[in-house]
Amino acid sequence: METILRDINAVVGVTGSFVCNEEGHVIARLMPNVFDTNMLSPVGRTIAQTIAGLKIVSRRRVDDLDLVYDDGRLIVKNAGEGCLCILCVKRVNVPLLNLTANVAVKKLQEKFKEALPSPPIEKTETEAEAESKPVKKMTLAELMASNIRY
Amino acid sequence: MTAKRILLVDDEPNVVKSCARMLELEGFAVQGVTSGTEAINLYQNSNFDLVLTDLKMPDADGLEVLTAVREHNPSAAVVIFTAYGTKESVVEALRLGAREFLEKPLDTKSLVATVRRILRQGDGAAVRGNLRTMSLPNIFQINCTERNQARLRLRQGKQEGNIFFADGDVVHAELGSRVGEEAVYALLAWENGDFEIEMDVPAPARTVTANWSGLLLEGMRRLDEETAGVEELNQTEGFKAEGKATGDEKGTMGDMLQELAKTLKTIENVIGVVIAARDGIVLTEILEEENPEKEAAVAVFVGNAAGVIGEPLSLGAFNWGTAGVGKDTMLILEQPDYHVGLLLGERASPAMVAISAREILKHGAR
Repeated sequence: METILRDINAVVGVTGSFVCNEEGHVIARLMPNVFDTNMLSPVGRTIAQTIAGLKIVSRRRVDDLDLVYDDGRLIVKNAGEGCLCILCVKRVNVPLLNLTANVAVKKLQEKFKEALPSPPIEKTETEAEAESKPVKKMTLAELMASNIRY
Repeated sequence: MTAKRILLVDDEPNVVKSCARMLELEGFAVQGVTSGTEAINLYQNSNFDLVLTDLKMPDADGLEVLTAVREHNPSAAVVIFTAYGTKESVVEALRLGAREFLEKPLDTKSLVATVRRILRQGDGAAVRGNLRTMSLPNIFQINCTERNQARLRLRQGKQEGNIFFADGDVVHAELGSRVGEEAVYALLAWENGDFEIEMDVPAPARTVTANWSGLLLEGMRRLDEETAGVEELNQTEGFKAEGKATGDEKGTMGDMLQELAKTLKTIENVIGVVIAARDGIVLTEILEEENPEKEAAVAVFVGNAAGVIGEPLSLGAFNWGTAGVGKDTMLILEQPDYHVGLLLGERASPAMVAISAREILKHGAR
């Protein structure tokens, strides 16, 4: 998977990338050192929850999410049994990135098919506690409630 | 000398009558009709030097007249009359080759001046207009997506700036002493001013490297910052002016959101709008076949997730996001009390729609 992420990171404007599985565990990452596992875990969980929630709502698979912020951009590509998350600059050339990302998603899908469920990397106590929360089996109402910020 | 022949089309007989009379007094031979279909038939069977057509007409509208006329004669000069709120059609008209846009109600002096200038120029002249009729982001979009090589000349009072397009991007810009991206950002702040687009003009230099959508995003961000500064100042001044009424007599929140949704729906390539509270309750919607609750849930899910995700990654404030489900794409924007979901057409540029939507959300409904 690291080779796949390396290809993604080679695209101009990409800061780093990581892969999380359906449960939201970060199973591979090639991110700048400043982003440790503790930082990425809630991101992975939220992405997994969101993709699962959107699937329930729309009754179709969400192909991608593109979130644009003041200081950067996160593009998420759904690979079925997990997703590829790409952190990049706001002005990244999206069509160019998509070319590489779409190839990467296909390779990831093949990897998911080949591999047995991978263990999460470097679990901390907080992570282990958070991971005990089921993601996929929540109802729509629960998902909405869990995702609401006030 | 033979009088120049003008075909004038407007579904309002009074407009046709008064404009025709005025142009005839100026020495033009005018054939006035009140139907787009009639105008197309007439053009295909006679010779005209210029076509003046209204945009909104019940049978064949101005765009259909423009398309038919240019199909029959690719160098035909067509001027379109537009009313406020039809900017998306103006973009299409420019793409189809309209020579100029005049805002209704028509000012007789400017109509005559425009007619004279276009007839004097003949073929291959520049496209002209005003930024109030077509915004700079729209001009960027059309020239970049069409990969035009062109010079855009902008004038506001005594200031004049130039932007050059090539290979699907902005390649050079100048405004006074400023060149490159700084000139682009300064020009993006212009809400008013005349523009002129000359095709096939090469850029004298390459001073811009950022892609065009990135330029627009950065330009709008800078504009947001400036506006926020002014609003803050106004607020402070407001506090000083004790007891001064705001003058804002607004309707209910529901009315306001409905108006907002209507305005958002006018953005080019927006095919549906849903505004939802943070708990997923639909506040208002303009949708066709889609289920409002489902669409609201998508907007809320993505909007809320964006906030959660942005913090650990130190990405700063959330601007906008998209969720792609099959061929459908929803653009999501977060407001303090609600989320806005815009369903996009297949050819939409989310970045462009986001820019327009943020402008609308900042200033409220028209």
